[in-house]
Amino acid sequence: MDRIASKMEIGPGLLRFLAELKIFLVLFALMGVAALLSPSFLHPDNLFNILLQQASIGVVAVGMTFVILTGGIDLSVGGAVALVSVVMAGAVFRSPAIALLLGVITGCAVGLVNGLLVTVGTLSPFIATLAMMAVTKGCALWYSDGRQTVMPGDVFQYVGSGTVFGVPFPVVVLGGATVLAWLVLRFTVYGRHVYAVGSNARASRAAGIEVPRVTLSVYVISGILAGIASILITGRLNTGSPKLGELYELDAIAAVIIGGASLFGGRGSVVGTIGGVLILGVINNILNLLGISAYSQHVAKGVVIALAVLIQSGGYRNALGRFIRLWR
Amino acid sequence: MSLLEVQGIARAFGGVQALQEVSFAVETGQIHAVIGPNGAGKTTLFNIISGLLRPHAGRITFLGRDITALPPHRISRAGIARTFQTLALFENMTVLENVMVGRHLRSHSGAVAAALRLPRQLHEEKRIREAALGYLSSVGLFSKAEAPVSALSFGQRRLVELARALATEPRLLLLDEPASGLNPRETDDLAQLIRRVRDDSVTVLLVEHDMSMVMDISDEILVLHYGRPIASGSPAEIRADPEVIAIYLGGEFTGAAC
Repeated sequence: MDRIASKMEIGPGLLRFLAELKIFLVLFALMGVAALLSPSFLHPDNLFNILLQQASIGVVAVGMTFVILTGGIDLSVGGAVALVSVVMAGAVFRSPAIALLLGVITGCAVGLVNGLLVTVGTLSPFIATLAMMAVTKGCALWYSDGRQTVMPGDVFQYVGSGTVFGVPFPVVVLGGATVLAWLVLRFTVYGRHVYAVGSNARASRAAGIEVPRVTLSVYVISGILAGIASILITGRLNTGSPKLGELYELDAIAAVIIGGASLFGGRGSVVGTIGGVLILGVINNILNLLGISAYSQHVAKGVVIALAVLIQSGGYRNALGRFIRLWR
Repeated sequence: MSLLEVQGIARAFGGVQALQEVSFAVETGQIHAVIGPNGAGKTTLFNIISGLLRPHAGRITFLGRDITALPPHRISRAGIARTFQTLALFENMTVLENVMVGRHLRSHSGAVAAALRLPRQLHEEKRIREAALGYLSSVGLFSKAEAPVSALSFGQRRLVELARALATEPRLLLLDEPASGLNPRETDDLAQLIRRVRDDSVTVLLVEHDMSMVMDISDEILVLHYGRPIASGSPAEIRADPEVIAIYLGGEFTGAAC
């Protein structure tokens, strides 16, 4: 019995991990195409550049994965990034350490309000976080009076552009957040509860899961990670600005969905999300290398999102049959 | 002291009085059945006991402790588990994972603990897995452990739900129409299983429509009609009760009782 049990532990877990890695086949195929289109694509500097550009959106997307796994959504992450950025710009003149701390606390507070609106106020996550998107963006503009601030000192410069053993600091943060989130979601009781709540709330209650607390926690995690993402992007631009985080919510949601998550909850993974983040990054990068205008880049991104989800969900199968029936 | 005491429970939905003045006690080590025609308020009663609904009047004590206002997870922790008439399973998890979620109730589960004490959590996961496999083999589904729930027959899914409930180590198990949708053979196996659960010192309270099974396995029966208790007693007493016979006349009860 023991031997059977230990065998079973490895088998399906490994299989599932391989299934999670499927998204990277898509990524590598895309990178192959990119390499053919532009010889400079595979240059290490360019590849690091993609990682660096996607680091802050990636951190946000990791948090978004927790929320979407419970069947929720967090539209306020972009606003949280902006608010955290200007809060830090206001505090950095006292001390960079206080600014960093305040940044994380602010992100946490935004997440806490989201979570309370959803659990205690029983608002739908879409409505609650839509409202908080307006509130956070408004607060960021109000507090900063719409102005940008250049961050003094070298702490933020290091956070945005420094390296650890040759790896850019933001990429290290993204890697750390990804590994930690993956371990927590896959191998801990809390992680399985996140999946359970999104899979079937009624069954979760029957199994004794504290559904409201799990729900509250995912919004707090999303808020904290939005705060950390704001630290990275504020550092990289060396500027505290209420304009940061624009459209972050949509990019993060797109990355999670491309990564195979279901908006109804219960399905998805951090590994898939990171695949989605990198796919979006590669698309942006190759369009830049080819000199295609920023406007048409949006079009390309939209097409890729639709295609990726069509393929993942199998919605392309029998599409012709459904199209014909539409007119009968 | 009775294991579960229900005193004067009432609950209305809009103008409809679903339950009124329902009082009864469940004794430790028994199989206690609640029967009644459709709409008698049986499932409402279960939802109130398990904390999914609040009663408008009355109180419920479990092991001498008032649990009337507790949220569902606290009631689970106190030692009451349940299954649903319409199944409630995690469709995109494996059979084993479904049972493991029930087992989690007896371990630490916070987000902070998950992040800060990762190694210990990983070790804990292994113990949970082994315990869950034990519950799966006790309902005869050991070989299906790694199958996705969606690949199971309806009867097997019921057993997964039962195993998940047992994995919370309940003192009292609420079964909401466990035999509905099962064929006669599966129903017989289920009756055996419920008896075994009782013999493992888990008290059982069940709602059921299958009269032959109820009469066969129950120690005590409560009859609800339009939200009111109209009779209670041993299967023999219930079978002889004129009011019960009148309600069920021409229905399933007379057929099954013969």
